[in-house]
Amino acid sequence: MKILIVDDDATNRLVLGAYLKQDGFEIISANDGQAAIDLFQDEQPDLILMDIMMPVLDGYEATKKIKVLSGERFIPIIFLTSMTDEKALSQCVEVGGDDFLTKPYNRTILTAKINALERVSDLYNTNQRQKQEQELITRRELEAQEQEVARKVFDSILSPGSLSSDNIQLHLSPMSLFNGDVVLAACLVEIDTSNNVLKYWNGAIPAAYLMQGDALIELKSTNLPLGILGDAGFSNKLDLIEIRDKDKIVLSTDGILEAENSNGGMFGSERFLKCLNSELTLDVTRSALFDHILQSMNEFVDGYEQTDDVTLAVINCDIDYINQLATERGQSKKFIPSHWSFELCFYYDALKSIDPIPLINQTLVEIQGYQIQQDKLSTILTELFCNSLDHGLLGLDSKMKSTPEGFMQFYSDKELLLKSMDEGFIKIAVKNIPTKNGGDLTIVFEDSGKGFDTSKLEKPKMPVSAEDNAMNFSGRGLLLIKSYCQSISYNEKGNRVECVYSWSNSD
Amino acid sequence: MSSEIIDLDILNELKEIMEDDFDELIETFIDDGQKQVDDLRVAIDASIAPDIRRIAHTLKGSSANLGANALSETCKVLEHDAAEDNLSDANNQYEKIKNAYEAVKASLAENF
Repeated sequence: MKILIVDDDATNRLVLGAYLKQDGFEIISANDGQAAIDLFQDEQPDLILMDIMMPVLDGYEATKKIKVLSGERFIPIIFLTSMTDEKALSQCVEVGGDDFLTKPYNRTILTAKINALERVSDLYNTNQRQKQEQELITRRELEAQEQEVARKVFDSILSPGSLSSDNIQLHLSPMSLFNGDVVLAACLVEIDTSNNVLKYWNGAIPAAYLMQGDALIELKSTNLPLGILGDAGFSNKLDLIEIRDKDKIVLSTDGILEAENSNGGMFGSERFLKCLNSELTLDVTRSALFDHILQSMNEFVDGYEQTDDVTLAVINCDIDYINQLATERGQSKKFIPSHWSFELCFYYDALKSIDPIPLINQTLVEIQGYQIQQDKLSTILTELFCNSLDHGLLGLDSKMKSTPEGFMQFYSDKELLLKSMDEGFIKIAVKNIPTKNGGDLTIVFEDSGKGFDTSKLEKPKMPVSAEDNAMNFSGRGLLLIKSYCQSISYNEKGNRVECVYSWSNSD
Repeated sequence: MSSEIIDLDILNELKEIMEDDFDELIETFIDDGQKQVDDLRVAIDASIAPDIRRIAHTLKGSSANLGANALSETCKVLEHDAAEDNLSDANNQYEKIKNAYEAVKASLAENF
């Protein structure tokens, strides 16, 4: 334990220091209040013995300041005084003193008081630390939940294949898949062709415009990014604006506006708007605008690597086309549950550029109609694919994702490993057996990886704590798949998983 | 005989505890004590009661620590008077303090 002695009288410091050194304490000393404050900050003593009458800064003022600097920690201060009048003593208490010691010092009392205060401060500081640890755990749990949500978004929603309509031009940079943010700027647009209305919700997307005739209308952000407000504070209020045939909607992330060149200059909204304005006056074909923006930006950055998400979408509001698309999708062609199966195999090079899940989803819909395409099935496929790729082929450890740092690390490792992967495959087989109202779908994922110790799966820990639960979730998403599927089983090696999912036509 | 001037039991205990530092303590006390006595003279001549009070207070404390009880007692009287802004007996008290200090100094030189 380190004790700071503050006294302007050298004799007192020496005598007191000698007593306390003999009791085994580490001693530092200051000769006035200001020196005490400086030493307090540099040396972090555990207890302070404070004289009152001192030049420069007296003991009262020094105590007040030190108590403020101590913050959440409890650093006991014992006043050294020969004053016995009530006013002086009450002032000691007012400024935050914890005890008194009257001169001349009685060694027994001195040691007893220091030991008593040491116990009090140990108790207080331990309690304080436990409180902080508890807060940290609570915050970690909350972050883990948020990351689970973020992961779902990154793993399943951002699949390029789902935006393949002819009226949408899209540029997605690799960073858009995961750039470490758990806060998402987002802009949702809905084109309502029956009322000629554009409905939109913009949360912090900086560049969102509607190009109408020769007018440029900004779709202003009136919301905070996703992931900041709690459920209660979130507003799902949509903004409405009239649209006409052949209007264009331009959406861009800040990664384009803030695209950097090697000199640290930014592309900026001025250059971006110039692209839009030049399109308005030149009346060119719809594909030109998209290319023009990307080209301008690429010329500006001149090959300098971008760290932020560079995503651009241009949506052409061709009413006829959209209506036709809507009819196709909306057609409730009567699909009869039937016998069929297919098998796809993706090798390492294909996996770098193709996301098989939208492809499979699409295929399922072609065969059995939209009745089969439910969120649950899509989730199962995504989870199984991520397991095969992340853990099976790339050998990433799911435990990494249990801490915030590890979560970030996981995704950056994944990107690197994926890039350098030069062997391996994932085989996906799907088979349907029709039932009365739908079918039993058998889904098999097999990868060329090492597999894993499947025996660990056989013994569910009871009771399952929240922590285990979260671990399993971040592990292989197995709990989720289990709850959706009739059955799930692994081969002994752990590189082949088979699930049976029952779907129903009536849903 | 010298127990009124200085409590040798206290000093011997300090010497035992402090070992090599004890000489420094004695030196510090003698040097600081001389300075305080001199400063007291100046403060009394200038009739600055707060200074008189502060110096007497400090000397009272350090002398008590060394077991110089007579010196400490005389300082206490002067400190008390100065706190009440009563300087009528200050010169007389100063003489007592000065003599007590010299006696302590002599006793320290004799014994250590």
